[in-house]
Amino acid sequence: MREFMSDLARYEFLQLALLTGVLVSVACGIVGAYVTIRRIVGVAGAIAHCTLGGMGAALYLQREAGWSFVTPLHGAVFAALLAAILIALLTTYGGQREDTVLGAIWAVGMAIGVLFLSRTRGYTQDLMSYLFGNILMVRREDVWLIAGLDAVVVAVSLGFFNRLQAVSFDEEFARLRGVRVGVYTTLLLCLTALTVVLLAQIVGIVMVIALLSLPAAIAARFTWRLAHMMVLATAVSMVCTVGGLAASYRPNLPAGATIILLAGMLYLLSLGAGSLRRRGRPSPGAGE
Amino acid sequence: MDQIVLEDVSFGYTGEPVLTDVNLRIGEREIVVIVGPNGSGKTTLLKLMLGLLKPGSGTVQVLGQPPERARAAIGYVPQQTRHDPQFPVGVMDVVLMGRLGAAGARGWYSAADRAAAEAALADVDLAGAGARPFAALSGGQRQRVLIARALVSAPRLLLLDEPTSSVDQSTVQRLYRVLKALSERMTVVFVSHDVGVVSSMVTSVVCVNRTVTLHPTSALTGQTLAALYGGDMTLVRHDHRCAEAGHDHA
Repeated sequence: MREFMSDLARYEFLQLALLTGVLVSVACGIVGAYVTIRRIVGVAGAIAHCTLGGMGAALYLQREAGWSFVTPLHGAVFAALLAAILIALLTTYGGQREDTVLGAIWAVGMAIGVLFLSRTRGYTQDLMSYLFGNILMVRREDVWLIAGLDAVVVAVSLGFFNRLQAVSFDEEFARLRGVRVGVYTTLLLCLTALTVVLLAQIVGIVMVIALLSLPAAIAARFTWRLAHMMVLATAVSMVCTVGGLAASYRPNLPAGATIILLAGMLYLLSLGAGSLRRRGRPSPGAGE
Repeated sequence: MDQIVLEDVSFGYTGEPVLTDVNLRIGEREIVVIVGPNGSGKTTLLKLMLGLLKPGSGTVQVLGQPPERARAAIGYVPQQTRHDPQFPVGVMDVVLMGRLGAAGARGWYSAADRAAAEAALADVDLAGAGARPFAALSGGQRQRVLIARALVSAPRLLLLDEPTSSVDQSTVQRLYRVLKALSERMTVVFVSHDVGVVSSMVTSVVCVNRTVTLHPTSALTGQTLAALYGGDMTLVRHDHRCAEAGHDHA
């Protein structure tokens, strides 16, 4: 841990990694809470895997077609938003079975990515960092885009808090109050998509859904209001990203996997702590 | 003026008819119960009044308009079984949801919204309960919170889907007192299984079984509803002027 602290002062790549972890934790806590209460972790998983298509295509264009201004992060943002809108169109508006649509988006996105990467030189190392994350590879120019996307996600999800909460709690009632349910459902999917891209920078696309769901699930054990759940989930997410990064540094372990394991352990602990806390409290429904 | 008017309304899900030839008028400040066996179309009838479902034929008018345009003046209380018991939300948060839309395009609640929510909680005997978790309430308390959520937009018409399901008998009485008091201020229409108890407090009983028959309670003198349910139901009686097709009491 001492080595991590001293190197943190010295190396920019470590500072960028830490900054990315802290920034992204805010979007992770807020959007993760929505994802958890709406039970759309599966949707997030499909969007996450689909972004491989965008990243593969962007890398191909960058290296093979000479479009040097395109980065894999751009491709991921494009693919994630496209996937979110497609899912909304096909399920909310088109009435298709959700799990069929998710399966298709998930696998087709990955297939596109694999095809583009196979036509790109030196792809194997990139593929591994896309799948499992490499927070230490975050570049200075990426951090600006990450910070910008993070700000957009946080501003939009807090700005529409009351409507998103009402649609999540009771869609039919919200519709009767004149809330445009389809629009807000689509908006939430787009926010989820952007958050997935941000988190994938840290832990990779395969493990994204753990960071999206576990901090919020831990927070839900200790709070009963959505706003409090978001704040607590943000804090838990910061503990996981910073703690995982620090713990993985000296033994040179993959940071993404360490972060996920830390989140998983905290979740298990919270299950125990939560049930201890609940003991001795009057059961729900007592008093009338 | 009649607040709810259904004329020759028929409705079916993918060809299977649920309601046929429904004609119904409900006047101002009436308190009306919709009864009928499971699957008879009670909830469908309510959803037609809300404009959540469109009739296959015929017309529905609420407050003189198509229902989807009258929504701002309708308070709706859905079946509470639809809500996720793990949802992290406080009582005040739930009641405030009723202020969305009607309160304008603003995304944030004002002091006036909060005052209206407090008043609505007081209307259902839950004054001061705003700071409690919704999930920690009993079934009856939760039901009253959902009624407060419907009241907070100051509706002229209150529609409730099975407000007494999954609450115990003493709570049912309390809910009925709340609804009766509200009917002084607005028209109240609710769906119930509980035919017997309600007959003393409502102005009309709407029997649903594929079609609809309206019985003013003043005319409830003769036949029993037993046949409608096929059970031992002797408390609500009417004079059986309703032997049209689909409402066979024999």
